[in-house]
Amino acid sequence: MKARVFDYHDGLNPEEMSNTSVVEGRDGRLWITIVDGVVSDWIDPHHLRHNDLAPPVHIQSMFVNGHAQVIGDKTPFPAGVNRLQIGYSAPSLAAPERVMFRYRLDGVDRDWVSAGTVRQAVYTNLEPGRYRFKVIAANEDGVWNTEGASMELNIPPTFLQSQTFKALCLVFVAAALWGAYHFRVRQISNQLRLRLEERTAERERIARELHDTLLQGVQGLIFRFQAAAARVSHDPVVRQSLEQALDRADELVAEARDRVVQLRRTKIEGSLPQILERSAARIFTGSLVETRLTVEGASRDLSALVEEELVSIANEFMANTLQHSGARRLDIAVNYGRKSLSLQLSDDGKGIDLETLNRKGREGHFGLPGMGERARKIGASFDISSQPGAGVMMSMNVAAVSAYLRAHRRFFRISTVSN
Amino acid sequence: MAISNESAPLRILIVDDHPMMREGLALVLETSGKMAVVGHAGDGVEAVQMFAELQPDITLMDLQMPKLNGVEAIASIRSQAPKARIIVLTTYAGDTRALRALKAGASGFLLKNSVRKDLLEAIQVVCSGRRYLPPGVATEIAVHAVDEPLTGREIEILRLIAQGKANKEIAHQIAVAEETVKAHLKSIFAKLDVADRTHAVTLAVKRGIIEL
Repeated sequence: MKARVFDYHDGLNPEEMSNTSVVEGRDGRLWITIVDGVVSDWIDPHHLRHNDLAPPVHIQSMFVNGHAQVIGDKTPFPAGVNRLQIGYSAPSLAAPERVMFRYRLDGVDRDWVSAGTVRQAVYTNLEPGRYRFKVIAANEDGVWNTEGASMELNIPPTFLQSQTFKALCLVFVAAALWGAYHFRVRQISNQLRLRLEERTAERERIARELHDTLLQGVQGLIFRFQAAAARVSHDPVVRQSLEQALDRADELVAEARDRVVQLRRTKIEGSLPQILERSAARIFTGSLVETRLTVEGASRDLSALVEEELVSIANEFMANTLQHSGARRLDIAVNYGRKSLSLQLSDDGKGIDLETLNRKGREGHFGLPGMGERARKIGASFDISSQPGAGVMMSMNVAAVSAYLRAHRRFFRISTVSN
Repeated sequence: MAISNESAPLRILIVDDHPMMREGLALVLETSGKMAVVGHAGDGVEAVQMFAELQPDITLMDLQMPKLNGVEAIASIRSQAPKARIIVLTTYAGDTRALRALKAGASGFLLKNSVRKDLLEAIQVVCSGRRYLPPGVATEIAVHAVDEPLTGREIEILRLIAQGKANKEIAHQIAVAEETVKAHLKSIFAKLDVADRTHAVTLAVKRGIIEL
């Protein structure tokens, strides 16, 4: 059922509208009585006036954060719109008071907002971006101007809302993560280095002990035997064999002493490539294997334990090459990288069946599992690969912090140890 | 003073911190029949005291000892008895080590592993007023004779490097700039004819420039 409201705009005086009654006449008119039964007016429902003219709509004013903004001005809005007021109107000559509005701001309102007769739309805290404001109106008879009026809005971001700021945040977060990651890496490396240093200290202690007590004692014993030998017999044959035994003992002491010095120094003479070159020369002398050594990067001092383990693993590899591969060529590559030290050995022999070798190491050698195990102990990655007939390649990588005696550069000296 | 069967046996003082070493040496000496071990000292301080007391003909002196090391003991003894005849007995060779002992006043330098063969000869040489040096050590000294010696500061730095200290720590410890330490290192490398610090330390230990 369609209803139509008549009010004072139609000539009815509300003050007179008490005890009002409406009577339908025979001609179909509705007669309206007011106070004291006086007929005030009539309405002919069959001939009602209807306004078909949709009201034109205009956007009239705009206030941004309380400051007037000229409509249609191309100058951009100030950054950061806290409060936006848009005033609009629809001139209607017949009944402007009855003009109804609806508006929507694309990007904020999902549907039309019924504003009633209010001629103002208010938005607060608009995000930066492009918007389109549209307002439509209907006249007193509900005829809508669906074209309405519309306006483009462009709200620039504040610094805090800007892409630059977001990018900066992202950079900051990334930097924080990177820092945390490196801090952790350094922490772990330091732990590893500490463990290596503990081992070095332990060896130092053992070496000192060996030197100070055992070797000196044995040397003293040799002197005793010498003295005893001189007394025991004047038989030149016996004397000679005793002398020889003592010579051998002297040699043993000298050898042991050198070993102890090595233990103590925990350092074989020369750089890693030099040591490997000597090893290769020793192992392959008289064989058909030709070795080639390449070094990349500037030579750095290495942690003694790391160097020793790398050398002994490499020696094991070379011994295998000599004994089993039938190789003619062995390549050794040392790379003093900024982030890690890498050592790679490869031969052109007949290759190995990795599965078999993985299962058991051979007698007298620490074998493949042993090599991996030793690499792991110094924090090195260990990879070995082989193709039947295409040789074996082994590579190890040790992180710079563990491998090098002193790092060249330190971004994070968070964990500085001073003593 | 030559060793002969007629003369009284040579009176010998043995200085070594290891008792088994002292006993072995004593047996070797006494078996020769020409020498008498009159005293055993276990450290440098004891050595100085016993020397003053016993006035031995020959003192056999170890270098690495507690309290007072061999070189210091030699200097101390020689300051009281300028004619004291002291033979250094050490495990390690090294021209600098030998020179230091000789400069302190030692008359001979002998490696422990050649005691069996050379000790009697060494004692004989020293008794006759000459100096005794094993040929290897003598050659080494000759080879490095014209080398520019390391300064005290340089040796101090080498010692710190041997302890595994980084340049920065060394600079802090001896109160100089890191650049100064680097300059010293450069000079050390040049004098020792080495390429890196590890090699420098190894060589310095071998030559007896520093002790571990």
